[in-house]
Amino acid sequence: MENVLQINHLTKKYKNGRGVADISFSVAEGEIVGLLGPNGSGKTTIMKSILGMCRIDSGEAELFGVNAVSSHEEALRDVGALVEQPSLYENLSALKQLKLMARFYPGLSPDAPMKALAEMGLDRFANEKARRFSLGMKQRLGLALAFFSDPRFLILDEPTNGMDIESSVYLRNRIAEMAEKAGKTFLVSGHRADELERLCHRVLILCEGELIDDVAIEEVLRLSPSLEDYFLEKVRSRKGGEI
Amino acid sequence: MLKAAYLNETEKLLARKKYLVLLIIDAAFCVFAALARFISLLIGDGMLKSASVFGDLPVDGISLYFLFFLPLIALLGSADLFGAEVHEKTLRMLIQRPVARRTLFSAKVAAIFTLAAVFAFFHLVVLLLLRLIFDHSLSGAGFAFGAYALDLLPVIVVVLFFALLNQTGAGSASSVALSVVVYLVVVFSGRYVAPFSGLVFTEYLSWHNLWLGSVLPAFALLPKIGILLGSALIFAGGGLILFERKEI
Repeated sequence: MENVLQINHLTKKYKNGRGVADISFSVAEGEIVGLLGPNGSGKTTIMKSILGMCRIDSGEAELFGVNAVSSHEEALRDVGALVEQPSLYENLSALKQLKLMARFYPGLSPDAPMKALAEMGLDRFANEKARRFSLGMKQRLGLALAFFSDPRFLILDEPTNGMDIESSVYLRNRIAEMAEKAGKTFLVSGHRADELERLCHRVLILCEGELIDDVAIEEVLRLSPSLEDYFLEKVRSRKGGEI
Repeated sequence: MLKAAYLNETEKLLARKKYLVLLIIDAAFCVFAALARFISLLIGDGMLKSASVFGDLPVDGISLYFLFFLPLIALLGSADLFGAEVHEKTLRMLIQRPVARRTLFSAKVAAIFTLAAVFAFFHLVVLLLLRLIFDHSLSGAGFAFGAYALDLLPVIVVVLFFALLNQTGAGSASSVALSVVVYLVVVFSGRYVAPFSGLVFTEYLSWHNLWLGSVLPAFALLPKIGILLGSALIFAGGGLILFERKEI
């Protein structure tokens, strides 16, 4: 299968010393890959580096075989993303935000923004300004902004953050369905191992800015009772028995 | 993509109500200026002719308007599209789209300039209407239109100047404060510090004086065009480099 994402020796260090070092991995078409790690382990940094939100110190990121840094415009044509909390124009309505972003996707159906809102259960609030939305509604709007252009690859940073149980389960099922039926590819980060265990085909474990494991969920469950146990064991052995 | 980004940036600016309020304030100032002239005409009791009182209404005060009011609009536009977008992290939504940063930068600058142009021509139209009401004449409207159009050209440099300054502040409020202080220092230096006189871009915001009426010879115009072009290149280059390097 074609590699949708290829990361080679990616290094990005912030002034405070945090970041990631020498990260290499790939994501094949139709895969759901999870990024799991303690706070500050570099999950979001990897996503930001792929999306051009921060400058890579060394290494490279390729999306659909195109360099994500030097050919940002071409590389991101088929990518949808939600990184950290949704960044929304508080004084604009939900529909307006989607319509503004839709201009960057020529050929997109005019009803795509409304469809995305309906899928996220926000169609009733389409004309309400984002500042009136609750945290969960903002998260769903952020997801609508990631999904509406029907991208082949989705990068989602803690996608169920702030969402209720029902919405979280719906989203998880929807992601699985999109990967299975439409061949969409996902890179999903999360701090809840049980959620990633149910959702992902493969998981990348990060610790202190380094990739310490790249393992299929089937293999994880063969070796440990759960992804959580496997993760804790890996991180403990990395940190010399402490967490 | 530039067109899409430009339309988005313009819509974002127009969605902010403060610009409507500023248009109303601008119109109110125009009405006061016209009323003051009308009162002087009444006090003159036939000694003054209507045409002489109202003849220069559209271009009277144009220098101050282009030196202070339009830069204020450009400053607010820059703060909204650069400073606030970084501070409120909405720039993330744009960066993760298939659009290059240089395209976004150009679109934002173009949208801020459009906003300034809308204000300038609104100001002119209001003054022309007031002249029509009080003087029943529109003579000199062509000259006034030409003056406003010419004076808008150096406003591009002002927009680029504020775009550059807005890359340096930590937030929109600090960017605005920095921009105001630096702009006033530049204006003051150009006016009152001899070595800078004629060397700073703010000295050319009444651009129409060079072109309309008695036109200066080409060799005298070239250095002035050079100063504006040079300033524009420095501000655009600096702003773009900082915008490209910005981590969000």
